[in-house]
Amino acid sequence: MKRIDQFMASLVYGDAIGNHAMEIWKLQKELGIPGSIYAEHIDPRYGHAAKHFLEYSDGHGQVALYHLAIGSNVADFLLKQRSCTPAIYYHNITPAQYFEDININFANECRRGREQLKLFAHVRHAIAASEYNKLEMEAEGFTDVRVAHYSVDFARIERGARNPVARSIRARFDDDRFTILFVGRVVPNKCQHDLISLTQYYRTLLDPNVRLLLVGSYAYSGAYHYRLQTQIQRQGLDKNVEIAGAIGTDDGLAAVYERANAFVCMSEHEGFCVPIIEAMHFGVPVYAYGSTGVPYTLGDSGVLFDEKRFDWVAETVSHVGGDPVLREAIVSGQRARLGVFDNATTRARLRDILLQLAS
Amino acid sequence: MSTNDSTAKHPHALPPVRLSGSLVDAWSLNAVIESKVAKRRSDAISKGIDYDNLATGKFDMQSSGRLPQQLHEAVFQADLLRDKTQVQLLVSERPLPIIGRVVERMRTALHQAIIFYVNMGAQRQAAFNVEAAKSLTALVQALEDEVEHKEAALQELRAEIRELRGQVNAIERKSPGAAQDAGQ
Repeated sequence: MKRIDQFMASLVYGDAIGNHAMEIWKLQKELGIPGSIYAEHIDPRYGHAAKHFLEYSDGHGQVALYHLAIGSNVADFLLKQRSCTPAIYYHNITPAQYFEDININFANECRRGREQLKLFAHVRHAIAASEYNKLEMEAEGFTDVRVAHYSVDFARIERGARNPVARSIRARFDDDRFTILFVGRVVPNKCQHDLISLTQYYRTLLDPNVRLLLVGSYAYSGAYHYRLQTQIQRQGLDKNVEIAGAIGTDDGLAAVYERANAFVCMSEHEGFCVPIIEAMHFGVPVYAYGSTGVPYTLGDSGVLFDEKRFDWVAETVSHVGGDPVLREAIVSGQRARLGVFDNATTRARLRDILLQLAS
Repeated sequence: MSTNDSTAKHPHALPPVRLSGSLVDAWSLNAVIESKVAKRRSDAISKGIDYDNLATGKFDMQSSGRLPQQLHEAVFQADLLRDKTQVQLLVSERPLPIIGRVVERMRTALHQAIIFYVNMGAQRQAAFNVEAAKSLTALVQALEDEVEHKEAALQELRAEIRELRGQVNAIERKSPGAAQDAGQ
């Protein structure tokens, strides 16, 4: 069997790509396919599995599977390798425009990523993490793109539900306030500012005690985080909005889903949106703005809206929240949809692809 | 807005909320929401609430913060990276038969010695960075407050000027002769 080495710009602990790369690495071990993970930046918690990409020595018959989500030196390095067979796994790239005013370096990396995607269009093995990503790849000239969804490790999330952090999260939110949740990095394209505006409507006209819980790292954009804090302050929502920061899969993420009455996503750019799947798993009704990859992930479940009318969305969330029959109907639809993404299905698909790559 | 099975039956009015799935009657739910929105709107307006701004108004993100966002971001990132100066051991396995382990041990020892001295310097650099990042953050915050304070004072002055102009105009209207005299 051929070696399959995985490459990426950063191996980040707890993010969708990092989790997925580790999942592939474990699956390779089960299948007896040798391989390592190479990255430019490696979270120390993954030190046992990963190496710096410059440690890689190119060899005939090896497969280099590159996870593309941002521009990086790793892509340039791989494009220069002559002996190995390149393969690409596309996780989507946020359009640079969202970072233009905030972080020009990050915006440039996004642009560079799009350029690098085109350079990989000739590869024989192309994998997309979602149907939407596949469409983007095809638009860049890729042919024969296969879709392999993320495999969400629910067992791991549920194990995390029993740890002390989860207990402290439960204790902190142990009240009967209606809680709207969003999980995702605090970055402009995810539009947390629209969720705050939604909360302002909800607080003013529906429920003064409503709580918006924003979970996700804000390390990617301090300026956007600052804007959100200013918005909260100016709209007098200090008691209604909580920016909780990142809560890892192993660190009690389950507790926030258990506590949520609704999961609302206003994001304008998503390749897949793993938190939607997690919310579905925990039986939380999902309400999402139907942009980019979101409709493909929700399928025919959940509630999609095509316009950011805060009144319509808030009234729908409130109405469903107060009607157990309707809520259950929505949650049942989501449960059915979850079958497409369950571990057995996604792992089987991934196994087939890996075996084909290694053969 | 887009159509789905349930909305396609009523092509004359497409609802902003699209509910899919056979378990939910999307059309009747949208009708309920529509009537709720209409009632809420009229109640809010009767209480003097700016409903349309609440329902669709976007928060002006540009107005949040007086200094360029690039500056905020740069200071924030500097603060995040202030103590990330140390390096870790990165020695990959070499698939060499028999001597592989010995080579690996020697390389590890060599790398560790280098890392030890590099990190000594890095620690000093981190201590400096912490102070520099703290100062920068405080400086930007003070600058932001200062600009905001000045803008507020400017607004007050503008309002005062408007008021004074109003008073002058009122005086002029009352005594046109006086204004003519003043003009001469």
